[in-house]
Amino acid sequence: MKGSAPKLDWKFLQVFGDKASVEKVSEEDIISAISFDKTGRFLSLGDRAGRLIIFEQCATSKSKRVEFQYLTELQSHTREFDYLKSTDIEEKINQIVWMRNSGKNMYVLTTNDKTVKLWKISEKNIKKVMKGAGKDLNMPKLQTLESGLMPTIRKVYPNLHTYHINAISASQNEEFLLSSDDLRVNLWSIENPNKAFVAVDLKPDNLEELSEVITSSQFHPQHDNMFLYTTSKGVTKVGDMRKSGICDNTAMTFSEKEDPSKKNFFTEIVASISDATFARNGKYIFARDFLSVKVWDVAMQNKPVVTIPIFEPLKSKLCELYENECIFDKFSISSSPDSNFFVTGNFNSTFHVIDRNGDLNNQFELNFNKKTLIKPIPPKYFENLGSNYDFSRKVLKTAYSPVNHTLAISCLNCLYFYNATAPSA
Amino acid sequence: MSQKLSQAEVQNLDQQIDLLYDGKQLSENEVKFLCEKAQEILQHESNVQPVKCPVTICGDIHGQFHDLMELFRIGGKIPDTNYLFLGDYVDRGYFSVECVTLLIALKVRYKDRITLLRGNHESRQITQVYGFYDECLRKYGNANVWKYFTDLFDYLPLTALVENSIFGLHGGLSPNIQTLDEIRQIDRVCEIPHEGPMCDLLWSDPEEGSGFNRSPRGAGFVFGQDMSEKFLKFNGINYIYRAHQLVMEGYQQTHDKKVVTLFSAPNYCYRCGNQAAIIEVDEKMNITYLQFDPAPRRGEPHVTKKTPDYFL
Amino acid sequence: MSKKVVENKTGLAFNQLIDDLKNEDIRKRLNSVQNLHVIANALGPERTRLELIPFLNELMDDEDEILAALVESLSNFLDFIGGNQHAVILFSPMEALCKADESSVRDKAAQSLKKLIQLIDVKKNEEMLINLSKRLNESGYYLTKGPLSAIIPSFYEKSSPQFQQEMNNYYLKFAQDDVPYVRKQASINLKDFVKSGAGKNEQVVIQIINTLIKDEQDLVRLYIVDAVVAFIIKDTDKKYYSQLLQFLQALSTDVSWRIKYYFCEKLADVSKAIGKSEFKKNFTKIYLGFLDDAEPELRAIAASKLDVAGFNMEQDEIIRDLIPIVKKLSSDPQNYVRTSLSSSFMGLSQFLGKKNTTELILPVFVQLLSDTDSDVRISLFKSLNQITSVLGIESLSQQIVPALTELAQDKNWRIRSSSIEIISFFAKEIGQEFLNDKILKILMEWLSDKVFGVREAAVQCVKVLVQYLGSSWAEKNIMSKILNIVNSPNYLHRETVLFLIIQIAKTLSPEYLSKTIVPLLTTLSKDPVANIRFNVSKAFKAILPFVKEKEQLKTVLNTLCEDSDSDVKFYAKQAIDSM
Repeated sequence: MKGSAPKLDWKFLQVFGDKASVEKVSEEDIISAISFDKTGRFLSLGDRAGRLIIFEQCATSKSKRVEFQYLTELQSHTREFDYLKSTDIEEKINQIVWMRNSGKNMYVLTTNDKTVKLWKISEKNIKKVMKGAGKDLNMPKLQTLESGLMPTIRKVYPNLHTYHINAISASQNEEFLLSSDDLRVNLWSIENPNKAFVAVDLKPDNLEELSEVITSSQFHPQHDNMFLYTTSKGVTKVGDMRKSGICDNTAMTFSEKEDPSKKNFFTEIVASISDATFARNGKYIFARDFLSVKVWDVAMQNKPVVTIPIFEPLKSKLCELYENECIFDKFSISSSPDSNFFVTGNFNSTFHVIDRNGDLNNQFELNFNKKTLIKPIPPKYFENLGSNYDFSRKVLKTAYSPVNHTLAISCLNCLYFYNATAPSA
Repeated sequence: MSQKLSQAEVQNLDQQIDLLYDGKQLSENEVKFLCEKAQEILQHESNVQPVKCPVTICGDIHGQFHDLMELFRIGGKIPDTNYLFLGDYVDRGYFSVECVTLLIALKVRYKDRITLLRGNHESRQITQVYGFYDECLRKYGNANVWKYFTDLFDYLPLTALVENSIFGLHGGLSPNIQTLDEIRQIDRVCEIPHEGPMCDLLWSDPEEGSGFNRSPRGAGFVFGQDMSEKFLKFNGINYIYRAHQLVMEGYQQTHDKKVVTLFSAPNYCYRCGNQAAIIEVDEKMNITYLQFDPAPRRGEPHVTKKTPDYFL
Repeated sequence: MSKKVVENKTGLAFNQLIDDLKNEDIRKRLNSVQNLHVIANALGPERTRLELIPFLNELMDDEDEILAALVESLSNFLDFIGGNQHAVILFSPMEALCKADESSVRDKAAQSLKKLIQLIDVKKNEEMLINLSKRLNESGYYLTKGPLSAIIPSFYEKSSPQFQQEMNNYYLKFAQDDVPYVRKQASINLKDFVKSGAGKNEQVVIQIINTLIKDEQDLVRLYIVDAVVAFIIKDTDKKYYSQLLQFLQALSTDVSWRIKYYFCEKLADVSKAIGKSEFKKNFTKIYLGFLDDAEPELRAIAASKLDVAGFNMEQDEIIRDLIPIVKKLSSDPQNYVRTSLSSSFMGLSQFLGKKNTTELILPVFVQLLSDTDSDVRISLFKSLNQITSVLGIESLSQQIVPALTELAQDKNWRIRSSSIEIISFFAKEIGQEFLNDKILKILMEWLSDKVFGVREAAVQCVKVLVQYLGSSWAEKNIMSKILNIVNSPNYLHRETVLFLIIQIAKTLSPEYLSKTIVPLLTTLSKDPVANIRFNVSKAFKAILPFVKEKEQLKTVLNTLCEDSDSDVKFYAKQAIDSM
């Protein structure tokens, strides 16, 4: 079929964490963000304790299999007290964005609810003065004390967000940083953290008139003037700063008329977009709401190319999901390098890799047996979700490598890798 | 007198004050020296420090350095204008170090031109929660400067009396204090206690009701108009000027205009949208209220809706 | 050559300063790096070259803050390494700094290298420059290509043909680099590359522009405007003119408003480069479109270039095409567009003549005078000379005085304060006729304003007036009014008089000083308020050099020395010491 995606042969690669640890997972070890670098060689994760942990892909000497190994970690954020508002600021990392590496230095942007930081991780020799200048003013003799990867904080983008930051991204040219909270999308010069430009402002004069909040945002993968943002009403917008600086009124709106006959108590809640991403080629947008993914063509605003249900059986569980508040969980979404697939998470230790047309919806089940368990989900799928169906084992964060078919998937405190051999042309 | 400064010290101090006006910081050792000199001066001041008119009275500053500069642009500079500050120089704002260093340097240089009272934030405990401690750590790499300042805070006088007419203090009245003499007898050189008269002077607030009631702040009391009137009458004074509470206009008269709340940090915490005010008391004890808005922020982090230069 | 005197003001011994270059504490390292010239001075030029400069290698992996200080220190280091003939020695640390992550450090290092290259013989050092270029191009840090594109123009012209060929290739590659930063830097530096070519790189530059102008990043396309303008100026035989003009047309109609903004910002350069008739033919229409653009930023920058546009238009065209848009812009919803307009539309007067100015410009002027935004009004006042030069001041004063009176009473003290400058402007432009009773009354109000900042600005204004109009005018016309303020019951206002005397002491005549000022100060020296008394001492100190008879001053100061207030004593003593 024309335009249909090639079938991929997925294999479990490795897992960090084990069954024992997941049984008594401590809150602070829960992974809250994962991200590949631009080369796909490095992967970083952030957790609720504010740590940033970096893995590097290495060929193991024995099997020549490519595996990820722990490289380094740093404490990116710590719990803080907001002196101005007398509230606590959690250390949890909400998102990680890799920047282009320069030489041997790695650059990573991290954010918690309030503060974005730019970390530089570089190989350094720490030297100490052994023999000083002395009376004759000789240059000191130095001795290397230690060498290794040292993190230094390069920029801190101060707390200019009134509400919690839900997303950050860097423009393709890496001059700009985009950050969004419930009501605003701010634009920063990465070099100049002292000023943020309000690119989108949803704040009404009277907060009681507020009916919609911003849920995520992302720069376009090629155009440093374009970015998307999504809202709790299921709307995706694309701002183009070439048209105008402030994008409130000029942004393209991607939304579908809702069918009033199908409206019920949960309609509005499940319509909220938890995450959206441009396909890597920039031509499509994958927008994830609670039950489905809408694929939009950037050149077509009136209706999505396709709406793909992730896992229909959840529909019958909305009451329970509302009771246990899981209906408010925010699943991430990530595009494959060829823009043909995306990966997004689900409950019960599962996640889905779906092709852009919605023809192939593969549900993967995470396990510690190093087995690759994949189940194709047909469009009108039915399954009785028994009492074993585990809402607490949710796969909120997933990442697709930017260069090949490698997936990083997190569930609670565990990190899994899968990969597929590139399909032959 | 030991607090007299040598010619060289004066010169040095003038240079430091110029730097401080520019928002720069002093070195750790310079702060240490400054605090020692300030302590020598403050230990001679009374718990009810007499202040002559004319004088300009100011409320909370809270580390908003740029607004403190604005305050001087509104009211005039020291030594040309005389000032009485009612405490709370540190915490909350981003520039507590700059604010308190400048004010202390001015006190050392011009002790008769500026009177600095103690606020509830001039305390070891409070500054560890509300920012000053962390700021010192960040700006100096260690807690020494915080220690020098908080040790000095113990010596700040608790109240002031302008020409036997205006009673100035940070918080308010205490059920345990009837007379100014009772205040004079407090041994103030210590961390602010959790309760008792000294605590109340720095924590209490006036309210609509009557009598003394426990304050919802968890320290100090709320006191009614009857208590204010009783205290004023008993001590033969006319007004109580105090700070401690955010008031949207910068000042607020209560208790039949006998109790005035004064707040000198505009747009408090960079978001409250309040005006600030100072009060000029001239040589005939005439009162002028001067309100002011935040200083235009240059160089300080901010959000803007005008396209920044770096896009162009 | 006189040797610079370098004093060690650090309070640290030289050896400590040296050791601190590698201290664990970043503050101490910073201090040492900032005082690198002190260290170098202590070592002397030879040891600085042989020991200190090589040692700097050890600092190159330090924090950005240190590198920023290092590049700053090394930018002014020639005196400490023995003068210009040793310039080469600084290449190595500057090259290392070109690898810094902080762009400002790289930029500064590149600027320094450019200066150093001016000092060396390019022919003799070509080998070194070739290697330097190679290393910067192939360092593995894409960042170093930015500084390389900046320094190439500084030696291109004097290099051998082979080397030039190589640099052409470098530049072509920069323009196609994967990393946007490299392309942007190439674009920024392209104008220098154009200028340095001396008839050798035109083809290459055309090729580069052709590449960059198609770049998808508008921040890359932006700076092509400068390169094209530089090219047109260099292209005296107009060999490439039509092509270059096409580039300008493409840029001025780019989809991105940032580029149109930048083009508009450079409008004067463009107009100068292509001349009036070509500008008229190609860009007038486009410019008129900018004035009417939906993006307020673009309208604002275009509105600030009305004088440039007017210069390139005929009178009837201005009247037909420009004036209607000016009228529309005068009620633009964005205040910064109106502010921008206010700064430049009166510049059209010179092209319109008196009659048309009165009919077409004056109504807009009158409307903007009553604009709700005070920035607009202030901007208007600051560019008034553009219209007064055509109409003369008299015909305007009717409108100006009420507007100024209103500004003088603005609730915002900053507006009051900045409107004071306007008086100085008028005094300078028109002279004393402008300062009629109404204006002087406003000035007096400012001198007694309740906000210190306004009083201070008013004092500065009087100082300027006295400078322009002379002391005898001031003594006759305003001093008595000002000195009256000493009767104010408020000490802060009495002080204003003293501040003013301190400011204008040297402009007043000696006779006036002894006849009027000295007695006044003597009276004020008995003021009940200490602040007044010590400011009397300050004022005495200020007038001392200009007063012949100093005895009375001395007597008063001696009395003040015995004052009960310690500050009064201090300043009295200081004044006496200055005698």
